[in-house]
Amino acid sequence: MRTLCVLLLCGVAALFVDPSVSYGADSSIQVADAWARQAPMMPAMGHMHGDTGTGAVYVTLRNTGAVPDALVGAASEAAEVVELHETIRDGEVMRMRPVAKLPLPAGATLAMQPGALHIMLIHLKRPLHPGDTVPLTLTFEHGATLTLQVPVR
Amino acid sequence: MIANAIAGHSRSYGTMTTTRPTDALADRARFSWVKAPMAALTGGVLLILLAVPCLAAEPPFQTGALDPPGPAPEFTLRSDTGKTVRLRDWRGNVVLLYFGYPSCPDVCPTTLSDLAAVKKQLGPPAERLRVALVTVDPERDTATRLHTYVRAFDPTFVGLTERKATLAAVWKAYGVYVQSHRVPGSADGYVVDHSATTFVIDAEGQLRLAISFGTPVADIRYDLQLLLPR
Repeated sequence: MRTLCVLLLCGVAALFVDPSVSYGADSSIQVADAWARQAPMMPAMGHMHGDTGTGAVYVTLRNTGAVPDALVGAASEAAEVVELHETIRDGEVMRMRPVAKLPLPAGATLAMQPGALHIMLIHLKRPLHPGDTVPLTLTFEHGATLTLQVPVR
Repeated sequence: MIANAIAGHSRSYGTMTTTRPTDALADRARFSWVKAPMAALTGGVLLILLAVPCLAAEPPFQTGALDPPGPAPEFTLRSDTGKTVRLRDWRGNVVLLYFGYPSCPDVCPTTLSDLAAVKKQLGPPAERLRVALVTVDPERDTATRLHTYVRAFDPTFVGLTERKATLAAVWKAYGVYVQSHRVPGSADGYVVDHSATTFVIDAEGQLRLAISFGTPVADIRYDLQLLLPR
């Protein structure tokens, strides 16, 4: 997967940002290796909902800037709710928990992967088939957002 | 090989005083003072290396071999197509049992995708492979739901469910930890913490392997090739 390099904060975005936070020209978040796991739609319990499903997206984020940032949220039109989750390994047992934010210190790289950090797509509105793409918007602590087209595999 | 080296040694004794560099036989014989013990040592090491795999009771598995293997706990569950499935019905096949649930977005689909990849790579011998997902979430998992889920990974994968009490006995028999966990603030309602081990039962019904989450596909394939009937 080719690296999708996105420079944060063009002049327009800067208008909405707290002026105390300085985004230099070198401030940027790089997104690489974004992919979503295939996920089917299944009959939901009860009769209030139609079919739905659960999916996961994995991305690698790199803060190439000099200012610490954090991933604080995500959204996708393919799912009703999107949350940041972490799977914690405890011997053979896997425990999954939501996380409020994922810190991105200056210069740090955060690699999501199966069995660890992931972006969870809850109540999918459509199945994720290999070859499809899923739009995903990431929101960062300093107010910037990035929109990606994530390939399904 | 060892005998030859010893023979060379004894021959060399007579040629020591009358060295003829052009005489190939004598030349070889002179060096055999060094070669003989080396050859004996090499021969001994080789014998040991050859003997170890033959003497070992188990083939050298790459994943988590259970030593000694024991009979896999028997169970009777309901399949995603509504059929009664007894473990013993699958005797003659290698059975892969994974305990998970379709609302699990990360760990379960990772394992099932890996198992689907293994099955594909195995080719025709995989006809003797049965892959089953035993639910750890009977409150949400109807047979229909499991059916849609497992088939998304491979059309031959089987989902197994039952009443919670019946399932709980199976979880316990395999030493699988299952704990539902309310998640405040999550739209998912609750998650199920669970062991993410894949259990492998051989064609004779013996529990042979416990494969941990994240084990490379190549290692799983290697071990299944050792276990699948030829």
